[in-house]
Amino acid sequence: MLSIKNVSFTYDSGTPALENVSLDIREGEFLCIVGHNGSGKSTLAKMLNGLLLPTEGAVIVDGMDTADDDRLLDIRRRVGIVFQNPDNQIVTTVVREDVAFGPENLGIPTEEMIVRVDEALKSVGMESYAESAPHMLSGGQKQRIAIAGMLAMEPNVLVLDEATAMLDPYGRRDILKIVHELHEKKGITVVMITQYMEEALGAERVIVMNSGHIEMEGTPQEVFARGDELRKIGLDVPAAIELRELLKERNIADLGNAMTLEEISEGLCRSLLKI
Amino acid sequence: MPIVIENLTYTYQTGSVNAFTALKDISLTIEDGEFVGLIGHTGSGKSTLIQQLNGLMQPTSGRVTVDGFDMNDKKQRKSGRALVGMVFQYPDYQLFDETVYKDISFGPKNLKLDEAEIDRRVREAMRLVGLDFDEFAEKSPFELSGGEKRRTALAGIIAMYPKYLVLDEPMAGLDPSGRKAVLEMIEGFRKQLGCAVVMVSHSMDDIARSAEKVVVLRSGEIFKMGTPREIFSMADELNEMGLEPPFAARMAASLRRGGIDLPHGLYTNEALVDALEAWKRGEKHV
Repeated sequence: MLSIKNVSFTYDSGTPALENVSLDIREGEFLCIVGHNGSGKSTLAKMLNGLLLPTEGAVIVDGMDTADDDRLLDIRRRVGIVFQNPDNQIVTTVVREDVAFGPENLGIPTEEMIVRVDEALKSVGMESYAESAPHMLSGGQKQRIAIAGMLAMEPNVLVLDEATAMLDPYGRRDILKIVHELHEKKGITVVMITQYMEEALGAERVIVMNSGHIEMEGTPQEVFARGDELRKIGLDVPAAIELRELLKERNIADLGNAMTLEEISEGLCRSLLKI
Repeated sequence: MPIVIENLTYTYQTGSVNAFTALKDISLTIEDGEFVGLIGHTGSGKSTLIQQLNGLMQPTSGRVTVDGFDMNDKKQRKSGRALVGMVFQYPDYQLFDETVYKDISFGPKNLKLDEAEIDRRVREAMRLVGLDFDEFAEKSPFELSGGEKRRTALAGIIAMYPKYLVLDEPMAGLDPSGRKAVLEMIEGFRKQLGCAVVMVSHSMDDIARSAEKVVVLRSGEIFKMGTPREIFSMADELNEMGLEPPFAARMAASLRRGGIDLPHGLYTNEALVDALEAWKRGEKHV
């Protein structure tokens, strides 16, 4: 449904950010893009709804080219992006109005808009804040409002461009949980761009960016099995996987594909206590 | 001499209906050369507390002395403040000058040092943060990558030779190798300049790695203070407070619940694996 074809992009300053990147994003998939600062991952995100246009190549959303001005509104309705800084994404003084801002611009009739806004706020667990002032909310709550604003436009694809980077661990966990719920319950396609390797564990597919190109691609299991290569390009493996590898190396336990704290803890107890 | 905080209470908008006490009866000493990690949930008072350390805010009651200078006294405050280097969150957004060189020399210039000394300090600071002088000195801060901006901002502070370096989430927004590089840099300044470090971080793993003393704030009060070993032994209590203990500490707590009686104070994967190996050999924890 979203196709990136041989895309290259160079900023006005002359810095190349993407070099011949091709990637198909499937409908309903949960995709995670990781990479170090400056690897091109955020540039790639901005390509997905035409905020940036390729210098070479094309980005096609549901058959529409992002370079086609006439289709841009349709494209942005389908692909919503939530950015890193919660404070830069709030435009009004009441939460409800903020969430309504996008659909209003799409010309949605008022009655339907009210339904959509209520629904969107409910999806992110913020319905009781509908009449609050956004600037009084925590960073994590602001990001939930930003997500609700996107949901109210009923997009097919939700792109999170390091949307958790400025949040504390609990705010981050909340957002992650909400995004997974939206994916499971509403079937929304999720493209999550992040520097936190832990966040990629729950994805169906992981893309690793490095110096403007795709360096690796696979399931979290496949990608994180290549710890040495990841470290070479400034990334890391999640602590759970690092522990699993250490346990295997030192002949304490072979826990197979365990990826989470719970799986490893359970596996270890079973193996060491011989239950 | 250390930074001494005695019975510090701070109330926002004292006397108004919106009065809010952000810090309650805090007593804390930051010893010379010490690395202190400050942790607490959002809203626990961390930011308010660090702003008291250089006199940006003054206590409603109680006292802060920096190297003997009483920060309640206007004249002494100036001398005390000069010893404290503050790095706020996202310092990369605070760069303003035309070139990296000018940005870093801003602080030393304010200290009224002569040109030669300023130049020496700028070069030294750039070396300490790993910015090549010839490549970066004349660049505009706006041409830099996120990591390079962060380094420039840090260089501007350390060029002032602070006796105490206070950092609010210095690694926020950086990728794993960037985080590691900045943390190593901070450890490096501490060794080279002999300064004390107070670091606020949400990353318990980073605190566990570097801090000698950890202070846990909860609703404006010191909930607990101790070595990382002591603090991270309380994985369940930290969890309840909305703080996420290091991964290895959470894992150790989970294994203990599952019936493997590991010793307390494990907060790195390496230590955890060592303990598990010992457990497997039968040297069970007594």
